[in-house]
Amino acid sequence: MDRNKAIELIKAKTLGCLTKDEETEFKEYIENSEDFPWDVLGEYQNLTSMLPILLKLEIPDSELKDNVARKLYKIIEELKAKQQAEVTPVPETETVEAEPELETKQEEEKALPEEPVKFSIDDGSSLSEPDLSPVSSENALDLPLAEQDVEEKSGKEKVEKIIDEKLERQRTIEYIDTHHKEEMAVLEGASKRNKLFSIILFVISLILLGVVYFLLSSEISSNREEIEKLKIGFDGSHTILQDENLI
Amino acid sequence: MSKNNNNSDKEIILKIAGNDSKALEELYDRYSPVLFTLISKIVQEKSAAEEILSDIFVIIWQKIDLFDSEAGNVYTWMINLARNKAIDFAKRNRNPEEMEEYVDEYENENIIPHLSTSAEPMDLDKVLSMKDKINDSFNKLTEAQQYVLNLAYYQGYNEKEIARELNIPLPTVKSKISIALGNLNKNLAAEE
Repeated sequence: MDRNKAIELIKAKTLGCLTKDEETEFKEYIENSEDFPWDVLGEYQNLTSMLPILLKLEIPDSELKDNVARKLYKIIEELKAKQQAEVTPVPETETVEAEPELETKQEEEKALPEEPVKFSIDDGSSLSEPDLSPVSSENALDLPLAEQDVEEKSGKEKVEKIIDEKLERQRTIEYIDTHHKEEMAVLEGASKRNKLFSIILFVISLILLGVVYFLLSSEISSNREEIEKLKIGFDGSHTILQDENLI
Repeated sequence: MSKNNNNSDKEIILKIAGNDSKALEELYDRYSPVLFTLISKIVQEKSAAEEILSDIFVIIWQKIDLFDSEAGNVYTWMINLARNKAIDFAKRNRNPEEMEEYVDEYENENIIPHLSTSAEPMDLDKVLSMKDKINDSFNKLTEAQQYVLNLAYYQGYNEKEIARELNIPLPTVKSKISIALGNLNKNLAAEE
């Protein structure tokens, strides 16, 4: 393949528009060619990657970051569970089978990240896991071996469970603290505003009640005065009529 | 260099390789807007774009070993990863029967970018600083050239599909693509 043809293929490749046949041709060319123009490929890979910078920037929702963190955390937890399930068969002899088990675990750890991904969550590295290695025979109490194993296992399980619960609680607190700080501040602000608003409403209600009471009482007293006047008028007319023997 | 927290893009990638989740967060903060913009342009649907963006960061976390630290070209790697993933999604929606099964090997071969180690490493700040020049260079292309680049890069059409879409012969499409990209490269070199 001549250089010009190769460069044409490179251009189409970096734009991602090679046909299937051309893709195969391109792969074969890379594998078999000693003078493949890698510099040209790099140049056009960089060039086409600059195109998106011309687009009008769109910002993803802030919740998406939490979703990514949750997704990663879930994947890691699943992988951990898988690892634990694979490790569960207890070797009959401690010394002979311990090494290969460690090796496979180390290999898996390379492929699968051990540390949970929490994004903004502090990784809680201060809470290191306790040493749960089996008790050596020198330190073991004078219990039968089977009983020791059962106690060790249940003890380990309890400790692991407690640590898991504590870690989970701490993670949740830290998660809320880091991810929802702003929302909490807004909510607190809103709650303060609501309290203030309630107090103002209460005071206004009191004032309104006072005004209504004042208006009603003045109305009542004016009505009373009116009644008194009418009574006096009525009494006067009654006496006159009596004096004139009309009633 | 992109140095929001005194870490260059390459340093962040190296930290992620050491299972540093905070470094992944830093990478997300730095790159998610440009990647989300690109993915949204390709898939046109917000929920799909969000799903793809989160998938990309899962891939980065799980397969950071496949990043060629010798090339160290973080920006180009990230953009290509996002484009490949989004185009794959779009093609699966368009022609599901023509697509291979999405398995690990497929992802390693077709979604994870394989970059030349001979190129100058790029990072986000550097590209952002060149934005006006890139814009001027792109605007100097003819409308037809711009359209062909858009069809290929954002629609994921191959040369045959572009020929069908524009109703022009395949050799014309090949030549248009070659000239368009060549001119863009020359224009940008002249701007610098």
